Amino acid sequence: MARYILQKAGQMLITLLLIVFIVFIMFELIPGNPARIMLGMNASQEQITALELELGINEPLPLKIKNYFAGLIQGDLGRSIRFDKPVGELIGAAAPTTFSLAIYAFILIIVLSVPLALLAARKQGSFFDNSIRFVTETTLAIPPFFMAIILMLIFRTTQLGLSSGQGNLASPGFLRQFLMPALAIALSRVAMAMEFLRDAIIEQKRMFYTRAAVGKGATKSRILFFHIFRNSLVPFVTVLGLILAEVFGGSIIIEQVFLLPGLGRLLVTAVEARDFPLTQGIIILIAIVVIVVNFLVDLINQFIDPRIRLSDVKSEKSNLWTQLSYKLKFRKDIKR
Amino acid sequence: MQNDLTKSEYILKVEHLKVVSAQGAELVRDVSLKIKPGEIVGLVGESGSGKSISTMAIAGILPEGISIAQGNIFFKGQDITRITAQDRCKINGNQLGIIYQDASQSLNPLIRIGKQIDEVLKIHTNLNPKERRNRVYGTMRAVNLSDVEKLAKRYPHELSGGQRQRVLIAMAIINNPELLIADEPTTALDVSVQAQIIELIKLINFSRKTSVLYISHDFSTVKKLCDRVYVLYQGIPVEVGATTQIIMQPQHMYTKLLLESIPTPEKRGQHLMIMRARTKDYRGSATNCLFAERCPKVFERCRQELPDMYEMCDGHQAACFLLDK
Repeated sequence: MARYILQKAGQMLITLLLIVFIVFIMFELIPGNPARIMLGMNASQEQITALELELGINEPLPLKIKNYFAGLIQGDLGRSIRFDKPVGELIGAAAPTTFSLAIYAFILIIVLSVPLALLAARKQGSFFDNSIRFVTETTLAIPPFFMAIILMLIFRTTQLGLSSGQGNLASPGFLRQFLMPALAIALSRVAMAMEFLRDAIIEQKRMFYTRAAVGKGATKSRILFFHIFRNSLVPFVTVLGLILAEVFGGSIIIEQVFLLPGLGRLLVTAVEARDFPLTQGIIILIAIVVIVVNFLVDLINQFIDPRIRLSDVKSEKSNLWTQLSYKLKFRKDIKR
Repeated sequence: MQNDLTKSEYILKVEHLKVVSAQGAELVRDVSLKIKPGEIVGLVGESGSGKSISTMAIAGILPEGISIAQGNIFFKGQDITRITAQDRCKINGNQLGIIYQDASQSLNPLIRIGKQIDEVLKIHTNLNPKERRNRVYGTMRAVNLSDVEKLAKRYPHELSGGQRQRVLIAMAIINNPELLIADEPTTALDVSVQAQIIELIKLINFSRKTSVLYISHDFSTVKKLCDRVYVLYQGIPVEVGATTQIIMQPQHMYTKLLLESIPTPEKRGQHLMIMRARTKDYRGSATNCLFAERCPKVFERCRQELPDMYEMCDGHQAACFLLDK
């Protein structure tokens, strides 16, 4: 178990470094001189050269990479060109809004999809099943930004006083204020989550051990929760991981629609202003979130299903490294 | 009055059971069988003869869409054909233990072995965790599992096929059921483990006085285990009798051919009898002898009427017009 977690954590770290590296190189490849953009049209060549020197734009690439990584380790993501503030500070100010929104939407997805899936899976192909799937699939077909506009229309005409605003999970009135954007993000994903869980439950229902549980004398609810639901969780958790990563990405557009001061709006501003350090910082943050979520999904799944751990250990044997060590051992044996 | 009689005499009494699918196909046509306390009864037949469906009907675990159309099943005198799910839960796992064909699929892959056996106790008894644990270990030892403390913490995929089958048996007998239904428990196992499982079922029957309904397509295991045998063909019993009677003097042509087709040392060098293949899968109701199309001794009457059971000598019956004299 500890070995499995270490292995996965190692994988996560390597992926992280790779992504930071790739993002950094990508921004180096983009044409345009940040110093010129910062100083505007009327700057003299001397001013530009001076700023270039200050920003270290013309330094050799390896040195730049070294400096960037050194800064990253100390938590320094560079300085925003557009806002003239440390990138870390800007992200720190915007992140709570986005994170709160994403978590809110994510919780909504779970809260809506689990009961719906359980109800739909009760009888496959029943009227209830079909109607639930019809409604959720319709919401799946509507893009979140359009869903946001529809929701705005609905909530405005019903006058529930649901306005969107600033704040995060800790601020009062958050749940009400963020309901609309969170719903806009959540609704289209509910269909996906629900469909996965429903299919998994129906599949588990057909399994022999479900029948065996009836033979044991287990009640229906016991079978559903002790056997079927638990065994359906692996595909569900996996798809939830994908959804959570998507929700973070999705909030970029929704923040635009609802004018929320989150990472999404910050990113759009940064891109428009060619604010490379800030863009880099936000993209790296989103990448970290996605990777960490994937790590958590792996971790949770191996808790649910012990066979996952086993298959990973097995595949280790086909590893180049282990093969090599086997061969070395073999050679030693021959020498003896 | 009659009810009392059944209660005292038979653990299980099935009368004219008919099981149909949602499309109306008759999977079990007319099965009647009786099991006395302490008896091991075999149910033999080829694939599709309805033997597994019959046992599922008895245990109330018929798949969705398949239902009992006619007949009654009396368990200890109580009609369990159409009882509520609640009452069914009290019988299954408690008075009625079931061993399934495929042990690897009949255990939940995500739950530790010990916990899965314990579940039966949890459902049916009020024992405290410590008593339950002791009983789980005790039953595991009773089915010849060794190193039970360690084994209980394992997951099904970490066990061998024989061990899994033993775990299933432990699960079925932990509450000392009066009837044990074993649905082809040895098919997925290799021959040496098969023999061990057969011995184990015998032992359970002997030491716990559990009646056993043993389902198999394999006469060689039935021969070793059962007191009485029902031979099933297309959802109808064609021959009933004590195992020795049926093995030594089979009356129905189907039984004869089945027995002839078993390779034994004495038949070395000879051609094995081969039964003509079933050409059509008839699922309507039976109006004539269903074996007629494959029977080498078929005559006119077989194609027109459905034969009754003709009794030879005490309890040995067969449904064949050749015996109608």
